[in-house]
Amino acid sequence: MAFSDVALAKSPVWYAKLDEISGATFADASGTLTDGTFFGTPLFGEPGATGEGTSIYFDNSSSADSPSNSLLFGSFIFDVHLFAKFTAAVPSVTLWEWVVDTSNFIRFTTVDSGVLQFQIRRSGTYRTIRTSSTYDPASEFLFVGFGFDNGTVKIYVNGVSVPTFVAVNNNVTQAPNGGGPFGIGNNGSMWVDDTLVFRTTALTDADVAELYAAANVPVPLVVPLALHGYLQSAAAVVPLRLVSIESSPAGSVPLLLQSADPAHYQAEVAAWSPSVVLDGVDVSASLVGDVEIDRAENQSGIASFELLVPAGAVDLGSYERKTVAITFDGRDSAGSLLYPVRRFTGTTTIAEFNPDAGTVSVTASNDLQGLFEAMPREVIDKLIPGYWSEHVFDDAADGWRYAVDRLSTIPYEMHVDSWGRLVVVPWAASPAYRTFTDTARFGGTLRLTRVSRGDLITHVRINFDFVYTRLRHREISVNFINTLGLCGWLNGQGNLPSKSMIASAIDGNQWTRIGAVRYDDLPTVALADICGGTNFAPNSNSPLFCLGAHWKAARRWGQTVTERHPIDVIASDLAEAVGVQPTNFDYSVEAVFDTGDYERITEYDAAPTGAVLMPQTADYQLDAVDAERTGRIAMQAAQVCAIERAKTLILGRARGNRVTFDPVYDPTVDLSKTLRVSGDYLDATGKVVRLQERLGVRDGNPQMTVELAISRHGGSGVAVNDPIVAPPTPTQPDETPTPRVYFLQQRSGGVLNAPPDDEDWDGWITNAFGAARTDPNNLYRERFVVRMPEIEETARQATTISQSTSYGVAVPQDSLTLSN
Amino acid sequence: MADVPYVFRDAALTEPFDPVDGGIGAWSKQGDTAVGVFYVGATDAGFKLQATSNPGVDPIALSIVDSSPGSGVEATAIRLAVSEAGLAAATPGAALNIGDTVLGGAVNAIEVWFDWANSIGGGEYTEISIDIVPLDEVPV
Repeated sequence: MAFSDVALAKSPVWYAKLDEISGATFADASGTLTDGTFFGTPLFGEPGATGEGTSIYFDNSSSADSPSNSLLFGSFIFDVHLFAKFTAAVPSVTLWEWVVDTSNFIRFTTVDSGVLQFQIRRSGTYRTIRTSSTYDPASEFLFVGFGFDNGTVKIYVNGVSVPTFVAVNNNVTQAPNGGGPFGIGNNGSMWVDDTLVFRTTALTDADVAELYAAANVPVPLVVPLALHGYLQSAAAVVPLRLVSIESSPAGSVPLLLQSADPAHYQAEVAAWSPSVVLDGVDVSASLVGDVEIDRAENQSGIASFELLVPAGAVDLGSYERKTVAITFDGRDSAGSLLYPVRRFTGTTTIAEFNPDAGTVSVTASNDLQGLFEAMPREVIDKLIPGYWSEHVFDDAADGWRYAVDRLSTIPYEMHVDSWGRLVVVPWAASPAYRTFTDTARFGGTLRLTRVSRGDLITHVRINFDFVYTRLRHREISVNFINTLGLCGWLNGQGNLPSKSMIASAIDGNQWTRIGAVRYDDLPTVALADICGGTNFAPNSNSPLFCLGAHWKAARRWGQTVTERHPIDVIASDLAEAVGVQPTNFDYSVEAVFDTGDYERITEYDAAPTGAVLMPQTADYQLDAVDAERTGRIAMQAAQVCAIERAKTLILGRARGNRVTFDPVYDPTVDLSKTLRVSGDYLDATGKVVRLQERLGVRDGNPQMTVELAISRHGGSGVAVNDPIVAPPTPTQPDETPTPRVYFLQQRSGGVLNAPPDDEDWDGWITNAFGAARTDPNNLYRERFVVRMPEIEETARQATTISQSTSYGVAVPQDSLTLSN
Repeated sequence: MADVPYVFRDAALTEPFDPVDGGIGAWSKQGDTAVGVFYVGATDAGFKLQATSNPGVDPIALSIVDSSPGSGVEATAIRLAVSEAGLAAATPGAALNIGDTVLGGAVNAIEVWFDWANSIGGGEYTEISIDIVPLDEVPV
């Protein structure tokens, strides 16, 4: 289908095909409006864009206007699309406009070297949308347009909706009320072909794409060149890497599986004997006294035993730094082995000789700390869950410290089990593995010790500062408007500045010019009898001077921003019972950035990539927070780490209540278990936090002391655990607005009552001449000065913004009942 | 006895496994489950482990071997997995493939977890072992 068929099928309310090749009017192919009128001298019969008819070239003094009408009166939905060929070198081109009056219009233009801009003004209120990219078709037509749907604006280029941003965000959802002409052209140089206006029903993306496809805009041909050449290389050396592969035979890892018999150890009388293997040698026969084992959360397990030594020299070193395995052997009444139970696996640390008894006392450790000291952090990360940040913990810490730091951010504990295996488990009580009820067998050992109020923490205040550099980029419009005008110059009230003088002054300050300078040129045609009877005739020097100049200038600087995050982690249930028990932590992250380069470099022609025009400052901003170790992502990870650490601290202190008792020996009890003790006067459930075992060589009856951790809050129990995510970024406050337009003045000396010359002036300073020079004693030094405004202190100085956040913590309430 | 190549007792690969020091231990009371772990890896990060049979193609397989089937602990009471959490979904008695390549360095070592569903009377049982196919240690 031809483009016009596709276009008309979509029912435009106005369709200017612009296929006229002469005349003063143009037709509306939609049949809605009467013919429009050409103004100025457009060029007809130019090559078209749609494969049908021709296009029309408009210079900056020609246009095509429809008759005045109210076709878009109050519309909420409308579309305008047209083919245009323009050049970005022209600062601003009006592609299409509908103007009711200066406070009510819709305008589609190019600005800023090829940015497409849609602007609607209704009752004086603006909404402006711009494309994020520039477009400079130069030698080919673009199919450009916009769709307006209740304030939502899409801008299309060649059938595709392109990225845009909101430059002015006032809420305008409706076309102005009133009537006025539709215009094409004006204020620029461009070729325009078929132009379409739709209303009431919005065009879809597919509609616009279909229109563009129907035009069959030719794609430039690309002719690949086949270029042949050859490479010449010098003599090469090829080193050989000879590797010998090491092969191993099949391996076999035996398992040592021990099964404890409850029928034995829960019986009235169970017999046990200790067995110790030291450096691979069974030394059980030399044991005297007690074998003691003491294990606790987050600590190395310790074992001690005493050995008779044979007569002769004693080498204590032969007992130290040796592997040791301690087993308690369950035996029947006849002394026969029923089953062994490994109780400790470790390494001896120190041996002491008792010369009176002829024994050596040996102490061993399962060396929890030593497991981590030389361990790579990546391996620790696999073993220890939790959080870690160099901004919260010491980055130079050794492996043990690193592991402890990670563990301090989650409610977990670690220990080494009886086989020497690292165990990391939650410390929260779970359903009781076993309930001990026969308190008569505790031997009066059952005790409850409550955590002191001073050890509890209910509120943790984290003062977290994030310091970074905000890269700011300010653009202002600079205007030199020669108030003399053409007549003032012709009448001798002052000279005109040369363009070269202006260009030199523009580039001679700390601001960077963005885009080209637009000059107000002298007339290019002779003018007779103007300005009170003067004649003007252009000559070859006329283009070198101007009546005014306009450009955009930019300035960049870095501003230090401190985000202050007061973060509260609160256990409200616990605070109900014991009052507020506060503690504080302070952390700070400073995002690394070298502001110097940003401020020094003045060669740019747009805002920094990624910078956004912020309404709070009317400047482009880009926060330098991308550094891997000190940027926002790392900072937020540190915040989460600090909050989790605070939460864990509160929870850990709240489980400081202890119940201890000595039950009948049960070898299956270990630090991972939750136990319940249920007596007449005390009933408690908690996780084992410490376990001590003693077994004499001859008594056969192991003693076991169990210590349970009981978590309590004592409050109403309504607290909940808030999800822990990084606090939100503080809101940036509005700065006091400063002008984004700067005007340079013109001053003339040599006239009566003119003020004396002032070197602080900027703008164009000149002198009257000829008959207009009425005071030859007060002449100025002729110069063009651009003295741009300074960036205000509030925009330069370091600033602080704050955001408070609070996180609730629910302290577990383990079972604990007391009665008398 | 000599170390079992590429098998370690600890995650940092500092304690090569030597059966003379005893097997990989686990214990529980009858009716409970016991767990244990060891590590397969190469200490040198510049090397990797692959099955000798067809390096890089055949899986590195670990199988459960019972030296006295029909008595004591049976192979079907053992499950293998590469994480403690993975044991629950493991098939009793089934072999474990830990991939066709294990990169060197402690951080790349593979955890081999086993659990034992203890349904047997009190005692110590040594008839179960975990066998590993022959391995090549080759440069990365």
